Amino acid sequence: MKRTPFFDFHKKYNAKFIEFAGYEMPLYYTSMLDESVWTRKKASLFDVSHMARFLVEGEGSYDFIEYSFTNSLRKLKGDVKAQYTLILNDKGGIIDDAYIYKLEVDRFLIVVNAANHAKDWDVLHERSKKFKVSLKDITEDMGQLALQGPYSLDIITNIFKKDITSAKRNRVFMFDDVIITSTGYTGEKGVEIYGSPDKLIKIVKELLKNPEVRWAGLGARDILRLEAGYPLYGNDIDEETDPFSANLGWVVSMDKEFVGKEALKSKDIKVKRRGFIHRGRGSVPKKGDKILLDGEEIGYITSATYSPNASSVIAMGYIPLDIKGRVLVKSRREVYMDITDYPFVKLPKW
Amino acid sequence: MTIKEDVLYTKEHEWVKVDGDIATVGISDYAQEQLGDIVYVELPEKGKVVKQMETVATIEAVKTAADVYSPVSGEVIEVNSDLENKPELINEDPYGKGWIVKLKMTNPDDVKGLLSAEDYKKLLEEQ
Repeated sequence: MKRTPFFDFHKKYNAKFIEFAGYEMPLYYTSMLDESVWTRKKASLFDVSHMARFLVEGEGSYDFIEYSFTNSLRKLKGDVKAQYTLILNDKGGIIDDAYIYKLEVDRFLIVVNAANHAKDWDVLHERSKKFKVSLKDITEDMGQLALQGPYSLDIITNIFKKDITSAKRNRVFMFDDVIITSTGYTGEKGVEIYGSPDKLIKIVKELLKNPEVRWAGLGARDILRLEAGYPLYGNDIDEETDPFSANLGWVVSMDKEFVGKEALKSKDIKVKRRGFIHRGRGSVPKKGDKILLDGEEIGYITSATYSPNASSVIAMGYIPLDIKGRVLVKSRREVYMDITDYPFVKLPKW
Repeated sequence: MTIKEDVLYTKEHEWVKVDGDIATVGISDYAQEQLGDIVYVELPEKGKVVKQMETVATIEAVKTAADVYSPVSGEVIEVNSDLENKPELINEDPYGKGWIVKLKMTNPDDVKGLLSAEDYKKLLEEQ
């Protein structure tokens, strides 16, 4: 199994490990619930080095990205240098979701899911042949950390002595060979940090001197992304899902050409990814559980958890458009859940 | 991790404390540690009759669910209703405030097949 550059830290902080996408990753250190609560109150440090990172360079970079992804680089204006986006197949199904960072003119960093590393490389490498670009897999050369939570921007400002306290979402900064981006998978204010393992280890040591910073594992990361309403590839979206049903139409620019666009034009959208909530304690549904309305099966759950920040059982799943009210989820036992919009917790506007 | 001395254990990591014909049941510290954060406990109705090693409750943790097997046969006379709103009591105090059910035992001989704290310790060392 592969290990990230921060494995020794995880051991030292008593992480419980799981295998994820070929990596030995921390699931939690103390408690998934406590780590989720801490993140929304203070700041949590996540090792996300298992994510796959590709570098695109060359004069065809812009056109290659416009063609290969759904969102448009035209939206990167002024200080906005990063965007969430999707890779589609020619049937309009989602091959993966991704984040793109503009580092310079004709130089972009693409970050995709660890579980899709090889698949995405093959697809993007094939698509890159039509353009004057160089595509490199730089996953192994770099570590990736996320510092998430309301104190994060202040903490980074103190460490790097560069004021990013009022940074808005989707900014990209370069501080001493380290890329800092105001992005993340929790919905909280925070940053992701990319750089050489040596550099990042030094930064981790600095961060951990601050008592407000605690490690959080993949367990908390999954709870936090669900609370924020973000889909997880393989659970909530996959190659059978189109972006509109997945409620991700906001990252599809139908006014440019890209792989999958033709198929999307003729898509008949019948279902939508919605949120479901059972206030208080209750049995937590599982992926694949059936959703019933008035005794009739209308959809299925794609992910669920207990949310410590909403003190509720929360879930995502697909049901037909325009349904309101309360549904019955057939889990290990039957749970009534209200159809709702996500996020399930109050998130900062930034 | 602690192994409480004055209770008996099952190989499935439940503990039972017998006082006359009343048996108090919970899960071991090892079991709660393996499960991680407990988010829901499905408790039985009072009056439910269970045989030894039948499911008496179900525990859901964030990433998994596990049945709790009754170490002895008997009738459920009390459930720990604090667990309805605070299932984490099992994580915090598995041998105390995290107890799960009390049974009126129907077969005193049931305890003969259970593990002492020392036996249970050996079992965990083998795992």
